[in-house]
Amino acid sequence: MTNVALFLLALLAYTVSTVAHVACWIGGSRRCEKLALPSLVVAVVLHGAAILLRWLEAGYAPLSNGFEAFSFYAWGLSAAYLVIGFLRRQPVLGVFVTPLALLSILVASVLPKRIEPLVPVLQSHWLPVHVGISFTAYAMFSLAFIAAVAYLLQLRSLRHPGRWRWASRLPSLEALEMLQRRTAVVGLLFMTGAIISGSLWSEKAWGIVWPWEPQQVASLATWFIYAAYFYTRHNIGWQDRRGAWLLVGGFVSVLVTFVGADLLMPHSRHSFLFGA
Amino acid sequence: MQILQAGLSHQTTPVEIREQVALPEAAMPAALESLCPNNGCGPGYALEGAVLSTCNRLEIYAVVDCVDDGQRDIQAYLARVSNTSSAVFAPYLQLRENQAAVDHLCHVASGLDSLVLGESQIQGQVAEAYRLALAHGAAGPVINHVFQTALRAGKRARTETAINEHATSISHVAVELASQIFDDLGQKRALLIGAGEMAELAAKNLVDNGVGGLLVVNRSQGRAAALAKQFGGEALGWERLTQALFQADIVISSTAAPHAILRPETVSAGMRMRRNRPLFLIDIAVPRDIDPAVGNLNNVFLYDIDDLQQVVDANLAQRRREIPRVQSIIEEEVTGFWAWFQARDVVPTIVDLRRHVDLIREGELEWALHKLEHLSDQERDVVLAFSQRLVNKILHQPTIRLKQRASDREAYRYTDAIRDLFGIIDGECEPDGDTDD
Repeated sequence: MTNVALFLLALLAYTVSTVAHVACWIGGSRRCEKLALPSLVVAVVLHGAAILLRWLEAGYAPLSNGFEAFSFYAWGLSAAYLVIGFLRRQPVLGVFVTPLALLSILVASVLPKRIEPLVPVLQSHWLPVHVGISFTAYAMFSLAFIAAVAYLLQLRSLRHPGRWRWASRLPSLEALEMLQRRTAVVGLLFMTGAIISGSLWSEKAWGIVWPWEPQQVASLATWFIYAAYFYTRHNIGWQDRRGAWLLVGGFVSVLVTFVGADLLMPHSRHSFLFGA
Repeated sequence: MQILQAGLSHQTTPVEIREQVALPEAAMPAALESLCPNNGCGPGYALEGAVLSTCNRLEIYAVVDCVDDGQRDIQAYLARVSNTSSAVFAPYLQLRENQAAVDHLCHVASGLDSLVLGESQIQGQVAEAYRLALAHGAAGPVINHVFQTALRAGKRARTETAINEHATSISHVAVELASQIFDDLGQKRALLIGAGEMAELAAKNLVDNGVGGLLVVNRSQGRAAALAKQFGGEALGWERLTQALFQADIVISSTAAPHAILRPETVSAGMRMRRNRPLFLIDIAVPRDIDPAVGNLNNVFLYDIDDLQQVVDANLAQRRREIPRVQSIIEEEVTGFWAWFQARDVVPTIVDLRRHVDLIREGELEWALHKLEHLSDQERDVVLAFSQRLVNKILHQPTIRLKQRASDREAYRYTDAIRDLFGIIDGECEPDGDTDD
């Protein structure tokens, strides 16, 4: 169970990073950045090692139950943030990313962590492909959501100058809008891939391309919301708060896809999150 | 060894006095030379020194042997270099010693003593004063430490607290708001509506902050063209105002029109043309040029002069709330400095202690030899040697211990204790003469 030990160490590093990010933000000082970002890097590295180790121990991609899913989501979100933050030099959004990642990893930490034999339906090479693609989409949509929330806060600070001071330190509206657009487009591409790969797997496993699974329906709805975001943005000028709200709505739909469908319809074929 | 500070600052001294004693930059080398010629020493000169001269303050920092002489000399010096009589500035002159002097320089460097609280220009000015003092041989180990302490306090204040955050002038507030909306001002074009004095100021501010391009629209074409030419921009006719709204991202309006010239219909037409990209409008005209309803449009950000002033006030209030945090940084730095300053006093303390005890020894020796007149020369030598050996033996351990403690930050506790127990007074001008206690 070395992987669980590593996971718990990573959880500690995520906690440190979250506390440092939030303290940094409230304190308004730049000194704690020395702790905030490096501890997130440490967390992602430890966590990545934990996932890899679990893969080796289990002999299959560790994406088969609730613990693994929430854990992988936290990792994917943090890693995507680090990569994009590195490219765009916008470290300030960590104050939103780290609590979300921490929340997900805390959810994971209370779920059963034993490595169980893989249920037959998941014994396929499609598992890492389909779930990996889906989670990349989720991570990107989460970042788009964070950029949208930051955008709405910055907007608020501009509408009430001198009062919503803490929000004025966020990146500019323009930068946040660009981040929303870029992460959403990558997310949409991967979401398309997730739907296609899911259908192919379904065809192979059950002989039916589109069995109207709750999660399938939810992901299609999600797909349409993000498609609508791009349509309205480019064609009717919603590159303002309306676009940002659409991304917030999109994220709610992602949550429904990821968790909700599983909770609402516990007997569907996708319901492996909370130990079916 | 003492640190003295004498200063005339905007806090206490009216500008008429400050301008009389002000030292122009060109006069600084000579002023520093005459503060400490050939690295100090000699009566009337400092051992080390530095001069901080800005438009808001003139401050002399000097390291001297004794406080009283030093204070007198520093006033004479100030009168000499500024060519005034000391009667002119004496009522305003503030004198500080040792910890208070260092504490003050830390306050200055952190911007707590500045006209605009927390401003950062003063940090550079303190650094410059230090550089000049080094270049002209006036700075020695103590001044080095004093200035490095203050510069470190200033730097920490600005990175660890928000004392320097958020703009404190209307033009900077406008630039700050712009940077909350736009990623890169260099990619943005500004439009000036009106070409008066206010517009010119705004244009200068925008260009200084790296705005990408400038458009000028004015009722009178000639004035617009002149302003555009001055800042490398482009003048447009009044009838092309809506089109200019499409081209520009930042609009500053300052016409003398008696009624609003930008109505929601005009701006929303412009917004459709610019595909709803954000538009930043500043109305510095009174009466206002832009209908306030324009500010309700999506992606349009409208501010008038009152809005900006409110932000300035709120920002200053925010800075004031940071003062205690800066003060605790200063306290830390000054404590560190004081420990160092006292520690370097180990050697003088040893010298003073030896001299003090030797004076006692000599007095007592004289008394004893006077009573023992019958002794032979050889016997007298033994008594003399006895007294010396006794003193040396007694002082041997304390001397070694003190030297060992010299690098310790707490060394001053020992030197303080020794000076206190033996009654050796620090900073006395004349050596302590009394021998019989």
